[in-house]
Amino acid sequence: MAGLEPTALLNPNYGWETVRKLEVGLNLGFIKDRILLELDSYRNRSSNQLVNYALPTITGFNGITANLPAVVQNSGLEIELNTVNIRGKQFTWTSSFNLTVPHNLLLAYPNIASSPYANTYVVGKPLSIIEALHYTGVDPATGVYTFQDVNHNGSDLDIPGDLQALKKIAKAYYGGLMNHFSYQGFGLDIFFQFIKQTGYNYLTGFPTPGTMANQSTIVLSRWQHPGNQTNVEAYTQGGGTGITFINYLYAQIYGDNRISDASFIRLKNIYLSYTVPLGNAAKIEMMKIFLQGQNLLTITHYLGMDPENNGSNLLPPLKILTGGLQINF
Amino acid sequence: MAINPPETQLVTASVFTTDATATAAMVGIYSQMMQSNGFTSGDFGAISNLSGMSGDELSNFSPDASLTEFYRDALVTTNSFLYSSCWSEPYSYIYQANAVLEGVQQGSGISDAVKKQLTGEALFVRAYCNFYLVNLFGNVPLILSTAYADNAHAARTAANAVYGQIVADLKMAQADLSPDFSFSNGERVRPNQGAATALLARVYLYQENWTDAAVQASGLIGNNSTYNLETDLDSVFLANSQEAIWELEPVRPGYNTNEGSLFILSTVPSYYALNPGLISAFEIGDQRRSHWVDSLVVGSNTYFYPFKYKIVSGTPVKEYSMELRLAEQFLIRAEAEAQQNQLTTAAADLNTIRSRAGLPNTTATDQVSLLQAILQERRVELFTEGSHRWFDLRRTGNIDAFMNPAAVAKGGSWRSTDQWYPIPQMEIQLDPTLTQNAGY
Repeated sequence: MAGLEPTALLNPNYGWETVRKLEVGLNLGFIKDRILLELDSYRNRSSNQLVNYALPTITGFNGITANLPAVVQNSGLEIELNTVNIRGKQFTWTSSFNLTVPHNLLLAYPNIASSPYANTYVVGKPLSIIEALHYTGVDPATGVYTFQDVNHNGSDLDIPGDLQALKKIAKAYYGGLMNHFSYQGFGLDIFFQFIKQTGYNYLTGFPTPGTMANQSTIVLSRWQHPGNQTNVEAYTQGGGTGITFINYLYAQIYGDNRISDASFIRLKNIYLSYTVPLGNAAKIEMMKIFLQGQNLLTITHYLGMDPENNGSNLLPPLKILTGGLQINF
Repeated sequence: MAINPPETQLVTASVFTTDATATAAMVGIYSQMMQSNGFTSGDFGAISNLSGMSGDELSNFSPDASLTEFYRDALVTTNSFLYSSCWSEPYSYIYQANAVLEGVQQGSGISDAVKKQLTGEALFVRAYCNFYLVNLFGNVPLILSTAYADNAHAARTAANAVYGQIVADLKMAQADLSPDFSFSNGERVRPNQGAATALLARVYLYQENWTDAAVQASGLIGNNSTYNLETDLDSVFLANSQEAIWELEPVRPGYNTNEGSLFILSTVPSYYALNPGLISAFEIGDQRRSHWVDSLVVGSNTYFYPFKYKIVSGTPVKEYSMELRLAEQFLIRAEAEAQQNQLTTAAADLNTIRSRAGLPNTTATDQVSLLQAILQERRVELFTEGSHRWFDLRRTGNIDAFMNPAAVAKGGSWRSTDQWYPIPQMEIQLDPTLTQNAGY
């Protein structure tokens, strides 16, 4: 006998989102366009966002398509600078630099306190804030994660009472720098990428000790004896009884020690090529030898696998060395 | 600009215009119950197994931390099975039951007989889900409509009031449902009047309304033309057995019940085995120990597992998942009579179940020992079915006495507040009017 199952709640009142954009740009050229500068400042305000509005499951569903009364502002500055540094008969060097500085802000949300986002967003702050328990270190006496007891009731694990929006997951600025050199037949391109941001670090996906999973070497420095000063909680087999297990779980889901600096500078691409000079009588039109390296160097303080895709156990982008010979007939 | 709905979906209004689609909206619930791996499916996330681990019935062999938390009586409010299997799933079925109730009231084109049947069934399902919610969590939001805007801010209703609603729903269901199985092709796979009576007897027992509990149980026990105890223990859990009051039909192609494929071991368990405490609770000569429990030896370890359902997989489907059966009614009546000091008739009902299991009559003669004997009988008769043990321990006031040593034997410890599960954290975040249970 066939059955029918409801798939969604009805909302007859939803409509389109609106975005109001404001942009100012300036293009400048100096020294016969040897220096080209582009400046761009933008401010977008979006409202009436059409989202899957979160509902508690006592309603039978976990969301409904609805419009939010929120006003979100995305603004920023973009800079692009192209320069021809040296233009000689044999040797040229050009550079290209770009930088973006984004800002995000929740401008308004009437009645946020009675909406499902009461404990997620704060009006006047970016959407990227994370409401978290503020980490105050591993207790040297007991080896347990401790957090700030905001509401002063003796427990530091109250949700939402002890949550604070002190940290965010956002990019402060990002961009790239490309340098191109050529000398006679040689060409060299060097491209650096940089991002200054915060992100989830290794602690957010920290596998439960004892499960069949690899661990980072930081666990070697975990708390083991009273008096140890460390940032990794004690291992224990008393799962569930002591507060170690519960504190570990809460740290993994709510602790702000799992958010840290994830900035990096990466040598994304370096490309060296040599175009072999051929005589006019040669049957070959062009012959080029090249060597390319991708992701050769990453400079970062990030604790985790990859500062660019942070938190989980994804492999970072691989270092790739390619070499080859290109011949056109 | 009006656009037609997609070809594979129906608008609610058109569902309740014919008998076939309205009925499909109701039976869809039973199908979902058996497809899920939680709530009442009998699969690894079913609340019978979660509460079995919380109590003294099942041992956990899964490395999944979310399951281990139940076993260690150390539930965290963010537990995923707590959220999906114990809370969201029953509320989803409550929504669907309310949708059927509203739909058949407002819809036209449904015959009167089907309207009555579906109303009774929807009230039964709502009562059934509320029963589990109130026994797992205590005070819970009482949802009686599909109006999500109001329900999104629902506060927790006192358990007494929830029970009052359950009783009212079941009484109305009794009036609407038919006493036979004519509307389900003779199969015991949809709740009928007997199912409403059976659940009502259990609810009265939990409310300590002894007289009414005994009356309702007697209604079923006396109905010999429809319900009888199976004399052969191996026949109890078959499809449409004489003892079945309501069963759920399996829906997974190539399998029988979820319990069968979950419990029967051919190697070291990936999920559950029976708690050794339960194995030693069987009396010598109890046929259930040999017919409803089996074991597997691996190396130097012996793993005991439930063997009520005997088919791991394969076709044809011979076993259905039992939800309500007659044996429970005998034990309900025994307890209700014992509480009213009708000790002779109470012992007689208890002995009916004992002799079916090959045991001699009970030696308990006074009220206190008779009630302990009934609690013990429920433990060995109803194990791994519908969270009976977990609820029985708490409602009889015995939970701390049994769980203090049992929790230590499991490698954990017991706090009295562990007898209630925590309200899922996600729900409190989305509905700030909800409060949390003590101890979490």
